[in-house]
Formats: sequence, C-alpha cells, structure tokens
Amino acid sequence: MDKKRILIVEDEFIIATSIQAAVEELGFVSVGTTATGEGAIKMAEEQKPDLILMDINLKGEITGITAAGIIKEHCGIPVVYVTGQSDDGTLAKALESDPFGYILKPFRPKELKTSIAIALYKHEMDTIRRKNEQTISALLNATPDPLALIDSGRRIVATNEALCRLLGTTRENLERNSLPDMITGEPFFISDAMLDEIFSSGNHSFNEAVWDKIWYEIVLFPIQYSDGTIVHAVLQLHDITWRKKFEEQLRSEGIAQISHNMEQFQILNDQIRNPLQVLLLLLARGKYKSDPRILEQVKTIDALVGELDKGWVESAKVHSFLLRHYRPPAGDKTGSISLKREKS
Amino acid sequence: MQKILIVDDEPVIREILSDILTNIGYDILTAPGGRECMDCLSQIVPDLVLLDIMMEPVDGWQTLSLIRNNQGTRTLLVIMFSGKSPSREEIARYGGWLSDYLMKPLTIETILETLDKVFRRNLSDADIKNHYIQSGGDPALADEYFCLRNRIFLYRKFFGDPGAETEGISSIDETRLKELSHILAAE
Repeated sequence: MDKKRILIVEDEFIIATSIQAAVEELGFVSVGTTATGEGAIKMAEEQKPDLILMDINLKGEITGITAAGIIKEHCGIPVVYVTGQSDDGTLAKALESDPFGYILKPFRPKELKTSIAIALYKHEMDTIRRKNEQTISALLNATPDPLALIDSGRRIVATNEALCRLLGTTRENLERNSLPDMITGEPFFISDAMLDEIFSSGNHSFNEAVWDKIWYEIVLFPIQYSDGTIVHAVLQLHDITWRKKFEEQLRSEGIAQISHNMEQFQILNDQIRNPLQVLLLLLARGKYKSDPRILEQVKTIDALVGELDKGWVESAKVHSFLLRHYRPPAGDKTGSISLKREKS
Repeated sequence: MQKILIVDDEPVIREILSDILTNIGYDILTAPGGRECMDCLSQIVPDLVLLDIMMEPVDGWQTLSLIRNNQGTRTLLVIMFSGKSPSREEIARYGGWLSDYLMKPLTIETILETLDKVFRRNLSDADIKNHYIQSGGDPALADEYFCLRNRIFLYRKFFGDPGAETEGISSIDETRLKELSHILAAE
C-alpha cells in the first residue's frame, strides 16, 4: 500500500519540523509544511494530501478552523487539529467544522499515530458510505420506474427522480419522511397491513393501479439481510400500460378470431350438409332407394360434421364468456396500439 | 291441397324436393333467396314456408323477420331447413316463430312426417287457441302462449332442456304453463 501523504500546517517553524520528523518516523510521507491558512488551502489543492495536520492559530489572515472548512468543502481532505489551545470556546468552534481528530500539544508520537490512523480510517469509511449512497442513487435513477427504498417505520430512505416527478415533489421532501398520501391512499393504496406483511413474511407483493391513464404494477419486495432481518423494502411502480393495452388487444382480437371461426364453421357445415341432403333426395327418387348402405354413408359424414357443430357450440360459449368478462368499459377511450413491429 | 314455398339457394335441393313433394300431392312454389321469397309471398300466400338459413344477401333469419312483420304473412307456418345447427341465442330470438327447425340432411320420410305433424298441429293449435280464449285466457297472450310452446319445443329438441332463456315466461300464468307442458308431452 502506498504511504499516506500528509500536509503539516504550523506557524512555528521548530514545531512544524518536529511534527514532520515524527510523521516520517511513523511511516508517512510529508508533502511539506506551511505557516498560513492561505498556504494550507493552496497546498491542499496542489498536492492533494491524504490528511492535513492543522494548527488553529496561524500566521496570515485566517485561522486553521476557517482553512479547514474551505479545504473540506473544496478538496474533501480530512483535517486533524494539532493545537496548544484547549479552551472550551476553541474546542467548540473546532468541533463545528466536523474535524477528523483533535490532538493537544505537546503530544507523544504514539498519540499522533493513533489519531492519524483513526482519521484516515474514518475518512475512508466516509468515502465508502458516500460512494454507496451515490451508487444507490444511480441505481434508483437507472430505471424509468418510480422507486423508493423504505424502512419498516414506513419512511422513505432513498428515492429516485421518477417518483419525485410522479408525486410532484422533491427528494428532500420525500427522503427521511413518512410515505406520502398518494402512496398510502389513492391511487396506490399501500396499507400498513400490506407493509407489515412484507416486513414480517419476507414475501413480495404485487398489485395494480391506474393513475393519469398510466397503469402501474405496484411491486413491494423486502430486502433480507444475511442475518435474516428485514429492515428495508423496495417499492417499485412499474409502468405496465403497454402490457395492459397489449392484453386488451389480444382479448379483443381473440374474440374477433373466435367470431370468425364460428362463422367459418357455420358456412362450412352448411356447405357440407347441402350435398348430403341432395344425395338423400336423389336416393328417395332413384333406383337405390332400398339400399341402406348409402344412407349409412350419409349418416357417417353427417356425424362427423356434427362433431364440428359441437366445436362451434363450444366456441359460442367461449365467445359469450369472453364478451362478458373482457369487453372494455364503454367509456374507455384509451384506444388500441399497433401490434405490428416496424420493419427495420 | 297444401301449398308449400321452398326457399333454398341450392338449386338441386329446390328441384328434387319440389319434384318429390309435388308427386306426393303438395302444391310447391320455390324461391332461391330471401328477396325472391318475399316477392313470391306478396302475390301468393302458401300454407307453409320451408326456409333455408345460410343465404346471400338476405338470410333465413332476416327473411323470417320480414315474414313475421308483414300483416299478410304474420301467422304463416315456417319451418327452418338448414345445414347449420341453431344456437341458444337464435332459438331464444326466433324459436317462438317456428313450427320446427330441421337439420339437413334428412331422409324424405322424416321431412314428410314433419310436414304432416306441423299441419296437423296447426289444426289442433287453432282448437287450443279457441279453447284457451273461451275458457277465459287473455286473447292478447294467445300468440305469446304459442310462441312459448314453440321455443320450449326447440330447446328440448336441440339442447334437451326447456331453456332458461325463454322470454315472456312471466306473463303466462302457472296454470297455462302446466297446460303447455301437457300439450308438449302429448306431442
């Protein structure tokens, strides 16, 4: 592993040199020393050290606390204060700037080592956490579906832009707050009982809702951690409008197809039976009148056509069933979509 | 001599059937379609129409409706004669207007038996109707009564049940329905 690079900000030359020596003795690399806050900011930007040891009282216009604030904001480099001042006021001010450590002079090398190690570790954890948050945020925004990560207390932990757009609000308004009315009530109706069920059983739940002419599949899936606990669940509002329209079209086309088949059956059966009738009439008039074999043959064919009739009666049942259950509501003007794929 | 109008778009059926029935002693008229049937009926009213269903452009059901909506042919006996089996909806809608529904192919013997039976029943129907009205039945319901009888007859013939779809059943009282089931049982 690369040696960590450290910047020392100290206005007293002798102390600066001794800290530098101590730092290098402990196995770190010193990127240099500076006696002013302004110098610290400049060197932080140029050298990009891994950590800054910062005195609070410095030469120049600004204090170490001010410099630390600016560096934190611009470079995100962790700062450990090294100061001789231990009064409450200075400490309070220093703490406000959220430092990674605070060492009182004079210190022993071991204290310095421990403080630097803790600061570096803390900073690393912060970085990982921030990256995780960014990853989650990127993942949440990677889908056009409105998404939210919710906890067992029915609060939104994280959400995405799509959900914000759908609910007409901002992430700040949603995150760390309870589920809004549009989720718990109309149109999505995610009840407390549903959430309880998700968090206790670990089962997924699927529901459907329509809002502003868009059909949503409401998916709730719990995230089970390796120790078996369920603390979070993902709420997904998946746009299934296309699928809904497709299904509707399949149904109506299915009905049309059955109607068509029924008509075909009727025409076909009629057309087969007409020549059979002609045969029987000819038989009645002709010289084969007494021959029962011809009548047998006609009956055989008629019985086969009768099987087709049964098929037609079954289709008539299917047809009326489909009409009863799947005819779109009279007021539905959403129209149909083309199932034909465009030629590429 | 009873007059029968055969309506069928199949010329061979028209030709041979009219041939055989004429030989037996019926007076036969023929028409190749619904329009020609109505043309014919505007000049001569036969005793019975044997009506095919699958015809273009005016089919048998449309022709039947025209016959029933025409004052001069309203009570004309009609037998459907088709290669197509009826649906429950068709019986519910048109069954009341039919003396019978014959499925092709049939032997000439069966056709003759049916004609005989329908003509005989028509005579007894007139008696029943008279009796019905004389015994205090509502004359306005007399036609409905026979329509109901026809529908139940066809439901039984094709589906083996009296047909839950039978409309107008509410306006015929219980006693009349019992009478009806006796008449149907006797047939």
